[in-house]
Amino acid sequence: MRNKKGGKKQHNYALIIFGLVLSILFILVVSTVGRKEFGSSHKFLLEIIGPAQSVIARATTFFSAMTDDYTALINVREENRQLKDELQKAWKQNIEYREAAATNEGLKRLLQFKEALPVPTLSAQIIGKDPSIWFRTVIVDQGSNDGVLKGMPVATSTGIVGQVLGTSPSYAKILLATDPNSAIDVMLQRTRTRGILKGQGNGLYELHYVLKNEDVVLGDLVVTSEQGGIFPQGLSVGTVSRIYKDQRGMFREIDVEPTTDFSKLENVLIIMKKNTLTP
Amino acid sequence: MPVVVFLIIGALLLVLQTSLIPMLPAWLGKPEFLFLLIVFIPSRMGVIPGASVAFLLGILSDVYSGIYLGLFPITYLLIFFVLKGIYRFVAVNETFYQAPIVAVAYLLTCGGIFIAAMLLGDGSQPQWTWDAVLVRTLLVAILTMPFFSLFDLCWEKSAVHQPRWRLFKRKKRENRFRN
Repeated sequence: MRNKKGGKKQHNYALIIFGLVLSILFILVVSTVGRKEFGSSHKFLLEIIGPAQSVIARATTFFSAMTDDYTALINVREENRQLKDELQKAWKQNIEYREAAATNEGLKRLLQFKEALPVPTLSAQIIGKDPSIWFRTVIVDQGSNDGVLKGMPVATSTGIVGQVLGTSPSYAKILLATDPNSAIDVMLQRTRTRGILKGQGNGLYELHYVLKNEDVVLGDLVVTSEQGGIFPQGLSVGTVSRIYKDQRGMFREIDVEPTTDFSKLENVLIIMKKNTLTP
Repeated sequence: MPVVVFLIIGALLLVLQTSLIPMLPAWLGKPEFLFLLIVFIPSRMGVIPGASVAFLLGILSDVYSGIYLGLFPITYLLIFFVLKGIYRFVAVNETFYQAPIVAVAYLLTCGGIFIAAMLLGDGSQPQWTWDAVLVRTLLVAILTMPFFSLFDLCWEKSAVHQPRWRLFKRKKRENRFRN
C-alpha cells in the first residue's frame, strides 16, 4: 500500500521536474527567437564545448597536416625521382649537344681550311693511336681505295700532322710530325730561312740546319716549304720556343712548339695529289 | 683451339690498347695489355703453338705500332724463347714471381726497342724517358696478377675443348711379340 503511494509521489515529482525543464527550455527558445546575440546559456555552452572543439580541431589539423605531409612526401619522393631522371637526361643531352657543337666547330674549321687549300684533300677520322713509347703514329679510316698513297701529307686547320706511312685498302697509318723519324722541309715565315723540322718524340719539334748567323727570335712562326716536294707552301707548323745559343758548329739548335694539339686529334685532312682522288 | 683463342684475345687487347687507352687521362698511364699476354704465353703453351701466337701477334702489333716492320715479331719471339727457357729451368711459374719477371721483361723490351729504333732510325734520336718507362713497368707489374688469372681461365676453358688431331697421329701398334 505504502509502496504504491510512494511510487505515485515519485512519479508526480518527475512529471513536475520534466514540466519545469520543458518550461525553461520553452522560455529559453521563445526568448531567443529573433535575437542575434548569444544569451548566457549559449555563452555557457560555447565555453564548455569550445575547448573540446578546439582540442579536436587541433588534433584533426595535426593529423590532417601529418597525412598531407606524408602524402606530399611520397609525392615528393616520386617527383624527386622524376626530376633526377629528367636532370640526368638533360645532362646527357647537354653533353651530346656540347659534343655535337664541338665536333661541328672542329669540322667547320677543317672545312674552311680544306676550301682554302689549293690542292684536293680528303678528310679522315683517327681510329687508333700507337700505344708504344718510342713511336708516334696513328691509324685513319681512309685507305688506298680512297686514293691515299704513301708519303701524302696530313694536316688540320691548326697545322701539320704528319705523313702517310703505309696504307691498306680502307685504312692508312700516319707518321706524326712529332716522331723522331719524321723530317719535314720548313721555313721561318718572317725571314724565309729554311730548315729541316724533326720530331723530338716528346711532343715538340727540333729545327735543324739553320745557320748561326740567321735572324731567329722567339715566337717566330714556322711554316711548311714547298721546296720539300711534299707539303704545300705555308702550312702552319709551330712557333720558335727556344734557341740554344752557346752551341758549337755552324748551326743553331732550335725548339719549335707545334701549333697542332696532338693530344686532341680527331679528324685530319689528307692532302692529295690531283690525280689520286677517287670520284 | 688455345692458339685461336689467344690470337683473338691478343687482337682484342691490341684494339683496346690503341683505341680506348689513349683516351684515358695521361696520369692513369697507358698499360700494355698485349705485353702481359706475350709474357703469359710461354708459361702455358708449347714451343710451336706459343711461338706462332707470339709471332702473329707481333705482326699485328707492327700494323698498329711503330714504323719498322718486323720489329715487334722479332721482339715477341725473343721474349717468348727467353721466358720459355726461364720457365723450363727455373721454378718461377708461381704467381709470386710472375710480377717481377714481367716488370724486368718489360724494362728489357723497352730498352731493346729503344736501341733498335736508334739503330734503324736514319739519324733520328728517340728520347729515353724514364718517367714513362717506369710508370708503364709499374702498371704491367700491378696488372700481372689479375690478367694472368684471366688468361689462365681462358687457357683452361680453351684447353678443355681442344680438338684431337687423330688424323695426324699414328696409331700405336700393339706388341706383336707379347703373345
